[in-house]
Amino acid sequence: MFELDVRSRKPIYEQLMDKIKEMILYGILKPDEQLPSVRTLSGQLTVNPNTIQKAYRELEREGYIYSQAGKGSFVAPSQQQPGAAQLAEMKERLLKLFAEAIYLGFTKSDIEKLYQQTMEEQERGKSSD
Amino acid sequence: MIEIKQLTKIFEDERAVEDVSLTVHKGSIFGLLGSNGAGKTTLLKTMAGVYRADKGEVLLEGQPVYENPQSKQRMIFLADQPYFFAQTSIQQMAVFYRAIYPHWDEQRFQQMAQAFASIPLKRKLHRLSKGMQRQASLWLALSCKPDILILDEPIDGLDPVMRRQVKNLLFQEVADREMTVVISSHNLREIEDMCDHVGIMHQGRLLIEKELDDLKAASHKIQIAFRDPRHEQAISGLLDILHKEERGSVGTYIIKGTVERITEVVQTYQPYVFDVLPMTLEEIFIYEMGDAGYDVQPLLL
Repeated sequence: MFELDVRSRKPIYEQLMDKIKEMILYGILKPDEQLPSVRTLSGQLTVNPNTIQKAYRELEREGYIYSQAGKGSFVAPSQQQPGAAQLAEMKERLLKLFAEAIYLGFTKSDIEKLYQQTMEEQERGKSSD
Repeated sequence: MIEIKQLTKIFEDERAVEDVSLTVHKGSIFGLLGSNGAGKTTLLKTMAGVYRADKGEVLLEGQPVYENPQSKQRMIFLADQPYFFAQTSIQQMAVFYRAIYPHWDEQRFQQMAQAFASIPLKRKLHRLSKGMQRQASLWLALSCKPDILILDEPIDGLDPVMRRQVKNLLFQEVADREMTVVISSHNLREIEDMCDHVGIMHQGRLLIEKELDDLKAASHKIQIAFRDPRHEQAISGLLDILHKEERGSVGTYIIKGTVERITEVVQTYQPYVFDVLPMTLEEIFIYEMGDAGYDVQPLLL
């Protein structure tokens, strides 16, 4: 279900967190859906179970998932307020991408169109619940 | 949990391991790295109770390991050279292990035959290739269901398919019953993918012992092109720069500190180019070793 890049410099637990967040945001993982167990995912990805545990723990801390003792981890119903650090990081990333896009000749309306497109895709993901 | 307290091991007048203290938590996978002759194997053998410590002690769940069958029956040490009795097959070795290790799991041994399908049950082990012998020793070790598995350069010599197979088997044991794994290797990529904690040894001493992600987050590789060369001076006063390399107008720096701190300092000077990259274990190893006075000599022959 995931593809990790072991050659990447990014820590594996962060890659895993990003993938799961992405799947939650795009509605591939639905609210209250159960995530694969640490053991299963470790076997599928050949990743140290402690690393997966860490990713789950961090995701729970950030409010994306919740865990029930003895049952496993589940997708949290609704995203809580994102933290200030998260917002700042996203802004940073967008600024960098916009700078690159403008350099490549993207206009304001091009970027607006892309924004519109993303919104529509998210709506579609939600309505297919 | 394995606790090593101020351990020293001396061979004649050679201090192979000197004053090493280390804790390996239950259920973690600990990677031991080091230069050649750093004392990794000596440390592992003392941990396993093969060698007697000259100073300090090794405790497994609070109990000493050396000459203590109670502790030793719960751990398996796989040496870098697999050892089998002369003229034995895997089946015969299994009979021996079953008699020695009380937690031997016959069913597990049979099940794993699938994973190690290339090893014929009745063929003499000394006729198998190096890699297959290594597989055989892992097969026997995992069938003993140890709480602690100590592996001295285990993955070297296995093909990529088997490597993945062995890793999966180890991970399962870690996930299911919190087996503790201590593993040494020179293959840093391998360690990086497997371990959650690492220790780096050099000349008998433990230079670093940390959670792998913390170690990687402690320093960063940074590329900067400054607007003004004087900015570089200003930054070196504010940040702990371990290493610097310049190619044209872009400089590559290894800086100690968190991403936030580095970004905050560098951004005030608004450089043309600014990129923060996490370090790879190999880079960390090389820079830490360089700090300890062990680096690549500019030798041209």
